[in-house]
Amino acid sequence: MIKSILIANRGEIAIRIARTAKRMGIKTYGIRTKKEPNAVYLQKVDAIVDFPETDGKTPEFLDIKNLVKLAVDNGIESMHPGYGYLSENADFAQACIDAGVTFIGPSPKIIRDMGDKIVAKEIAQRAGVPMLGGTHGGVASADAAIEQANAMGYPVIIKAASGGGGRGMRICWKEDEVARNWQLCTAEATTAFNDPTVFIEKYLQNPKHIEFQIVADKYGNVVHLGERECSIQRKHQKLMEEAPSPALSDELRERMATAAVNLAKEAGYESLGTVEFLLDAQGNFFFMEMNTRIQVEHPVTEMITGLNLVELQLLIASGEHLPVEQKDIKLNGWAIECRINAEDVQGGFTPSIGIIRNLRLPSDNNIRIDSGVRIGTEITPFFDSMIAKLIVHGKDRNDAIELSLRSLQHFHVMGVKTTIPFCKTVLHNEVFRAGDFNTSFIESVLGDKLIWKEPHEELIAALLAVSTYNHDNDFAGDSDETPEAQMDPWVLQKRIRHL
Amino acid sequence: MDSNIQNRTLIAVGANENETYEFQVDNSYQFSTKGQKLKVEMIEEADGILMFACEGVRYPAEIVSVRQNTYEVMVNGVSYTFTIETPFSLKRRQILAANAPVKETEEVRTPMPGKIVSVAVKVGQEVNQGDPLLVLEAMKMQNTLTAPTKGVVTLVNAKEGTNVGKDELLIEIKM
Repeated sequence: MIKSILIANRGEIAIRIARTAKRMGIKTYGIRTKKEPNAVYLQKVDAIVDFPETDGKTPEFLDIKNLVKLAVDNGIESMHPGYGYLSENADFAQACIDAGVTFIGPSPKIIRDMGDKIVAKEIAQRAGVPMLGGTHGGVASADAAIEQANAMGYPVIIKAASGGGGRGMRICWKEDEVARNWQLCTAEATTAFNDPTVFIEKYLQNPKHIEFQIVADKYGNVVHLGERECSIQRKHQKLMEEAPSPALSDELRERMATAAVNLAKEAGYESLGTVEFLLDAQGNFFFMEMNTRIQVEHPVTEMITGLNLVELQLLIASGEHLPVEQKDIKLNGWAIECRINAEDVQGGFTPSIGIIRNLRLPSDNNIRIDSGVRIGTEITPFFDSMIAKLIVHGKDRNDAIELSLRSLQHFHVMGVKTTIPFCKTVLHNEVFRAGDFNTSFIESVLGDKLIWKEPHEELIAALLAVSTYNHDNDFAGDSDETPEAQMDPWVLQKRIRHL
Repeated sequence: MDSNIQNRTLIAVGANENETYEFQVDNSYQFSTKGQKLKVEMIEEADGILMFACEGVRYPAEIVSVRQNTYEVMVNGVSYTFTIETPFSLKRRQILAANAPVKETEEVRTPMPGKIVSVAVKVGQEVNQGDPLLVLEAMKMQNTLTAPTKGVVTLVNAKEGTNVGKDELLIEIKM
């Protein structure tokens, strides 16, 4: 079993990893950076190592050389990359291995294969997984792009082979858009991902986003832990997730799960992974990509399976056999995750920076809060805006929705604006409640009604402003009012007329 | 507070002016609106969270900012901005607004520190309200700043790849 672990991440996921590792008797190391030397996650690890002085050009958690050196210098046995940052970077995994540090995740080869969308599609093809527009490799010229697009039928999407996270993609609705988009996409892929290769697939409009959790050990055992519904998203950023998905019948779930497991087997997969599918309104599903790391939304799967995914990751990395078989895995009840981001929803989901002046978390049975902040934490522009996740477990979907709403009602963050009122809007929405939604939900169903206001809330807010004003102002003196302010409006009207 | 300064009318004018609420101040702890009496109280709970109680119901509340008589408040995590006026000052404001010279240029400033990813407009270009002007990256998110008004771009201070602080003037649009 691994004895020590360096957590190459921050925030709630660093805390999440440390909690499980400590319980398993693994010594946890956190990395202190100059940007947030008093971060909460540093309190949750057994030991802290300081990130060395650098020229600052590479952000700390992207600095392969120094991260590996920290592990080696401190005699730390393994490296957990969390999500984001270097979690899907094959060079990082390789650098760890080369330095004798166990990388918690799949092999560099698998990360590289899945990171290259063209290779990943070829593996999916071999595994018999359905996909949009088949596999035709990269498109090397605008003419080749037009030829492929015409053969597929419009709309099509041009994607960067090394892209991801919604970047490096362009949709073409008709033939005369293809050449220009091919050029733009190739240029973008070169600058953003250092790889000009792009490919074309059929573009599916307003699909559902469904992903399957896979766990595989080093001995060829692969199980799936059911699906997660991630269609509530804005600009490819997921905002709420649930498990299971209201869109899947048992039969469809079985078919998609089998496809996901077959893909993992074909890839020779090991560790945790997520196979992402797009699902159309007719129930056809298509392979999109495979993520080779733990996901932000993993707790909903933990809630309904009772399994600890970080524990499984650590066991597999230690060379243990999978402790569960497929027949042992039962999906129990319903789980929903609300992401609490420091964002100004009313201002178009822009980041809301500031200091968390006060924080009150709900407490109830069957709820879990994964958070990386406390009172006094400064929300800076350096890091992503997620400050907490609320995960609830209900006996059915309706129960989970009601418990989420009740918990959000008692979730107070002072000092920054958050997505809490937005999450309430979604949970109250009839279309969401009916389970009949896809990735266009926010634009097409919510439109500009993004914020849930409790009954009479606006009146209460007006009254709060009025009573505060009344307390703030000593009218007996009228001392700080300007002469103009004291002028009777009728006199003023007259003066203006005579100007 | 003296009793003789009470018994007045205060009007909360929302950000778009049709959200207007009129209250009579009965005393510091009781206001009336449309004939309904509302008892209010500000309660600081044990953990320091401020609760605004109206008729006994507690709402988590926050005074976000006060600029002269403009109050930004948050109730249940939703932010509201109200300007508090007396009947006189409201009338005066309406008169002044009706006679104010029409603003000719609109400034676009950085809402938060970040990095300019791309600039979509050039000086002399005509834009419509809502057109994308530039993309600003902050907190790993790309935010598109859009034109606040229809007009012609007269100044572009933003360069791709540069870091900008909060409230820097980036673009000017002549209406």
